[in-house]
Amino acid sequence: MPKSKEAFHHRGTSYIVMGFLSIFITQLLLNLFIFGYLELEQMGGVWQSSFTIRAFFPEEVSPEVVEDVKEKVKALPLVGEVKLVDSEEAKSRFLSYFNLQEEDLGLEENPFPPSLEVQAQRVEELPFLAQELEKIEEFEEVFYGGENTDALLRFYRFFLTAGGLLLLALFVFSLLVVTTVIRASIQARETEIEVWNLMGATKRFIRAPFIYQGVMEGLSGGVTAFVVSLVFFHFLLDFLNTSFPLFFWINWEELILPLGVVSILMSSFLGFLGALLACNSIEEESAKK
Amino acid sequence: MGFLEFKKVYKVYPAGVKALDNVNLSIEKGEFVFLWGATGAGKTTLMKLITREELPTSGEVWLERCKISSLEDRYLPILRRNLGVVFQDLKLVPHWTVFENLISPLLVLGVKKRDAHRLAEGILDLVHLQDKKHHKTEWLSGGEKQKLCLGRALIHRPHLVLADEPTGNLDGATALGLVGTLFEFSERSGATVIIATHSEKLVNRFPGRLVVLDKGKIIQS
Ligand SMILES: Nc1ncnc2c1ncn2[C@@H]1O[C@H](COP(=O)(O)OP(=O)(O)OP(=O)(O)O)[C@@H](O)[C@H]1O
Ligand SMILES: [Mg+2]
Repeated sequence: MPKSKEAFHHRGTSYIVMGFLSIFITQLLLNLFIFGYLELEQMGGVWQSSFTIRAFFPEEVSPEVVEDVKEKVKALPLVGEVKLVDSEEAKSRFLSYFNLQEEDLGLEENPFPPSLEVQAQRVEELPFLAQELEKIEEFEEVFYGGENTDALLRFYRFFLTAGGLLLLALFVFSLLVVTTVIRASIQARETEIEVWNLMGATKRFIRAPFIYQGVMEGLSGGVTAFVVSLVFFHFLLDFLNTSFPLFFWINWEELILPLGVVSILMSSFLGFLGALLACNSIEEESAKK
Repeated sequence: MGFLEFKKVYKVYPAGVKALDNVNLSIEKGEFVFLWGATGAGKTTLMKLITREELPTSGEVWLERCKISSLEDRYLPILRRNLGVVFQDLKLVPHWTVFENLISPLLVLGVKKRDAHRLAEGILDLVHLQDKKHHKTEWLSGGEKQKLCLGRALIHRPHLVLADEPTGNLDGATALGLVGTLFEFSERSGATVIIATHSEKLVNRFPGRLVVLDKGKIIQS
């Protein structure tokens, strides 16, 4: 392959700035979203117990039924982990929770019913899973969460949907900007393209520099956003850790890998796709002429 | 079948202009041909059918046993790389340097930088533009641009050279020199050369074949 990216020098700088900025902003918001998501995951882990569904069997249930139901629950689609808490375990948990001895209870029979502790694959699906479990007749009682769990889950769902939609809109917007920018720089190079065509240049040869331009614009926007967000989160987390030290903040280091990977992949993909769309649309137009 | 064949070629432009009217023409390998005709006779149109900038309305154009009048678009690069063309409107990129315009056919062919430089030196000597190598093309005079265009048409040593009015901007002596360069190139490399012109003087100075076009018809070949 000839080095066709040298085929079009003297590029307009203002175009490049526009493409760069739109990708930069998109990537910045995406990074913010990733931060929020990771933070929520972290909190979800801490509040694991609130996010566990407990389904109690009646006291007199037979071990076979318990096993059967456990397998049945495991097979449900939304289910993550399932743990069986038998009567003995329930009793010892109770004793250690209240710091009691076996004798203190003075019971002949174990009054603690066995139960299943069920976790959802994704936290936001907890309520649906709980509904599913309530339908199983062998359970006497199904409940989950503390008082704030539902509110938290609502927020979580809202965050995911709103964030996702916003990101999608932003993605489409920057794709549009990149496409427009690359289209403009293709149109500014009409003379060159005509000459290259007459010299027998292939489609690939003519496209290559524009695709390259798109990817470079994407990458530069993405990498800048990556660096800026890392610095920003560094100070943010510093501030949060000193202001609310008891809260569970993620480590700054944990952000580097996911933000880096997403920034590079996403922004170069955006640039590439935008450039490709621009090339295609211009070729279609000139084919119609 | 000849190296280049036109078979019952008609070209009617969308506006209704009949530019070529039943053109039958056969040109052998290595021939040096003047395509002579008044303004509007159809010389450029005939050349554009070879470069596939235009398609014939009917009829066939064959080059080296390939029916280029029905060549698929994706093969056009292969056709064009094997042609050397001096376009009537030059088709130079004004903000490129002389050197950059000159080596563009080589870049398309994927020739290495070093070889491109070497070939460019030879051509710059041939067309007497050595001292303008790094000038912007738009700074060149009309005649210099034409010389550059000729250089670009020869640099990749094509088997077929089409020169459409290559002497339009040149004084008599320079025009003779330029056609002389083409003649020598043809003699030395065995390339087929077709020169479109309306200058009788030029036609008479070189021992080439004369093809006369008049209102789209070939009246002498
Ligand atoms: N794209 C076009 N659309 C419509 N008519 C055209 C087009 N190109 C050329 N023509 C017409 O076709 C006829 C032949 O044109 P052509 O350019 O082939 O002539 P020519 O012999 O090269 O003339 P000249 O010596 O002035 O360059 C002219 O009447 C011209 O107006
Ligand atoms: Mg002409």
